[in-house]
Amino acid sequence: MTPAAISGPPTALFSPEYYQNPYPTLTWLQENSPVHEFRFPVGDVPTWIVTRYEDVKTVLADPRYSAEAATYATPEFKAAGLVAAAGTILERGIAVVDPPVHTRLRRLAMKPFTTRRVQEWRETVRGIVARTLDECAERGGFDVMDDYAGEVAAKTLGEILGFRIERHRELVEALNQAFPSDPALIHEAPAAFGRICEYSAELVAEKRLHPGEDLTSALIQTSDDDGDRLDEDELVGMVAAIIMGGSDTVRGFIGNAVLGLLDHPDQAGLLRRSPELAGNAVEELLRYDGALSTALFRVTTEETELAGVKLPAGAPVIAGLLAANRDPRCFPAPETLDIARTGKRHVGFGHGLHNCMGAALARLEGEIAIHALFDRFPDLALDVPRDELRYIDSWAIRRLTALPVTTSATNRA
Amino acid sequence: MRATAHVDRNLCLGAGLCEVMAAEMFRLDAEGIAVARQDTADGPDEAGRLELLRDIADCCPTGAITISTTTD
Repeated sequence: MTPAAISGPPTALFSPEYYQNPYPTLTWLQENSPVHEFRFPVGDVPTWIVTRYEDVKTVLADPRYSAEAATYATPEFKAAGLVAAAGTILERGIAVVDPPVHTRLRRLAMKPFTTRRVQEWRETVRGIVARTLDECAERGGFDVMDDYAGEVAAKTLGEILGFRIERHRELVEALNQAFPSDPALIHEAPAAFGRICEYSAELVAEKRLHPGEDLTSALIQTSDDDGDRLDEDELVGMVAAIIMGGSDTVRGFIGNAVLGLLDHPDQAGLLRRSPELAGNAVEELLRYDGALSTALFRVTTEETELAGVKLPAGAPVIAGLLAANRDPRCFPAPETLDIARTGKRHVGFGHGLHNCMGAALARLEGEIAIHALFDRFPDLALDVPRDELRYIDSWAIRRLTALPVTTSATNRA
Repeated sequence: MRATAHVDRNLCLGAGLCEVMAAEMFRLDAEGIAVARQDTADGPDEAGRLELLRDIADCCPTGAITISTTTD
């Protein structure tokens, strides 16, 4: 054993210090313990985290790593309350079911989210971004998280699903309670999932009465060639999944991307001068510092082996997406932000069956919002010392609590 | 009847869903972009194969897969 292996990772997984900068620990794990057993802070359940790119892809592609924790997890895992949304209709939601149930849900709901269809929302997103930038310009200084990224993500989702914007903050709060990092708060999660389902059910009921051009109305109408449709619970579950997948993630990503570019003024300048790089820049920013730290839990359906490590049946496995995207085996100079980078695909949206359904929309929002911010405010700069920035305590989402900026050198504190 | 899949390489972003759903029909190449395996041998399972291909095309996040059928 090397001295490094004896000393362990620089910070404990999913500890307060880890959330502020997970990369040293993830790099350590990649080199010293790529399929790493540890105790999950909620419930103290033995869990494995996988950090190398190829292993992460294996976990996300191999059917022996099931998304159905409700079916395959150990009694210990279930008792700890770790089966997401247990007891609600979301327990059978699209993100946590295997084929053939998954295939049916996904093919019924995927159509409006494909790259081509999402382009129909381009002008909507452009308009939302432009109006939000006007509001930010009036302020002079603003918080990218609350005043920009949060607004763009919430307004876009509201417009697309057709719900009233004032509900959004309540929803974000419910989301944070649904995926707590603090073990003491896990008991609040079921109620939070319940609230998200309630919002979703109200929205579906409203759109049944008053259909519009929105996605909720489209999902109510959708059917496949054989006339198969989503039933009421599936519809509500799908809208809830879209709310959960499409709000704080987009906000978190735009924030991380803006910070990445503020940290690398040369790259921000390149993006400003070369708008044609906006799409590629988004891919690189997703790789460099995405909003999803990990995929949702996978659970082994049988005893298996990964990179020489034996996993028992029912083992909870966490695929480290941030880690995989900085694996030097796949990405040369992984710590370098290079918006012109080409080569391997990142796994910022996951991989395989459960890859993000909203990826095209998230890309569209990122592409427009990130470029427009730097284009509008050429002197954009941090308004607090860099080391005062904080990330939320979340093992699954990597998001800044606040990102105060100023739009001109004279405003700077 | 034969069903053939075609992947639009300009649309595909390598999410890997097709390969996971049917490794015998799709694979990701060295760049991570999907390639349809040109295996059009028809047989008793052709109807099932067509149904699976349609499932995969409908589930693809980029809409990069099109299915064509020929009778011969």
